[in-house]
Amino acid sequence: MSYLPRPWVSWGAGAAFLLALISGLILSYPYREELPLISTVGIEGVVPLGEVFRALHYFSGELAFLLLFWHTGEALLSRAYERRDVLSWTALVATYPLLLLALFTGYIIRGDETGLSAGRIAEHLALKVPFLGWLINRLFFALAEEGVHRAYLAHIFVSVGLFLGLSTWHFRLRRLKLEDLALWAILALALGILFPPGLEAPPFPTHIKGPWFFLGIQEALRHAPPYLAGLIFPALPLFSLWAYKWRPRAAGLSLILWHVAYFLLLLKGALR
Amino acid sequence: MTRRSFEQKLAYLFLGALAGGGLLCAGKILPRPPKKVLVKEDELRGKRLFIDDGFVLVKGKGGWLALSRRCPHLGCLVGFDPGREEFVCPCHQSRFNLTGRYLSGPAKKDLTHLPLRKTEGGFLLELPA
Repeated sequence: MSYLPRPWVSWGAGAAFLLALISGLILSYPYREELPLISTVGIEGVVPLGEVFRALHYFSGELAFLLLFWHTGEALLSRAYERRDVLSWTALVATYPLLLLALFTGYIIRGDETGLSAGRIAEHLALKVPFLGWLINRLFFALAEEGVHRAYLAHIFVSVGLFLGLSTWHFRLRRLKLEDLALWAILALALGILFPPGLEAPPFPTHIKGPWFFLGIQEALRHAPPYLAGLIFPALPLFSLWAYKWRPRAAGLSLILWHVAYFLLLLKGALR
Repeated sequence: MTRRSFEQKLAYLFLGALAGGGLLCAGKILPRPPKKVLVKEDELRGKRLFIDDGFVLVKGKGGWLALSRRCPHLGCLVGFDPGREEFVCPCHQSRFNLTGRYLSGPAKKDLTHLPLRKTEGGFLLELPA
């Protein structure tokens, strides 16, 4: 019997993404991109319910990513790639780096030491992409020249664009149940109470850790040249996911090996 | 080729050119002048080290030296380790001595020296645009 993706996972990913979008639109009012850290601190301390909406935004975004990760695994097990043409499959694989980009730019625009350092690294790595590096950097990062302005625009545009694209073409938004939305909102808020999404802004630090999903790459960058550790290495699982349609066995093995290696690097980075 | 398919091709061409033009437009960054920073002498009195947002001033034998805090590896801003009197990149742990010389880690290059000019009441520093 073939495997079937669980609806609560796929609808959960959609619900969490929508919650991130709504809370993000609310936060975009008090947030000021010319004063990223000050306004984020203000949202936490002065804006009514700002802390609640920031926690909701932070954890619904993370949940959307984790559920998409799970949904992808289920899609592979259910051989969803066999029912998709090349273009659709490529577009679906592309949702992965796009959602990661939305998550990552969210870290940058907090404006604390962790976020800005992650942004500076991303900027340098983007510039190493052959031919299109300058454009990628200018559309998504360009911190050295423009502060968080472009990362902020990318955060909004990529999130809204991705959600609109997915909800018109991959799932029907009208079928998303309100109780699902409430359930995931409660979970995100509960996580926010248990693990408040703080800010890290020590003056002149000598050791900082990037966002949790970036720790493996941060660790790899300590040991290998940026082109290899920052571009080729993170591109490998995407390529494997895309190639799964044609070579499921080889691509599956490469995905498993990559994730084991990444987990070990992540663990080493986290324990530093 | 029918008139309809010709119009369709023209529409694709037009929309493609518009999308490409849009990317070029969004990708443009308007140049900004280099930033000039005045560090007052009062702020340096009694200090050997002055650390600010993007730069650091170090007092050496020949006077004050200005270094960029941007790590040559991937651009993180270096911090200061007072125990070993070294600058350390917080992201990947490259280390530099007080004159900005590379010591260890993945950076492999020295910190950039910035032009520093003595003016009335302090030092004028020019940060790249």
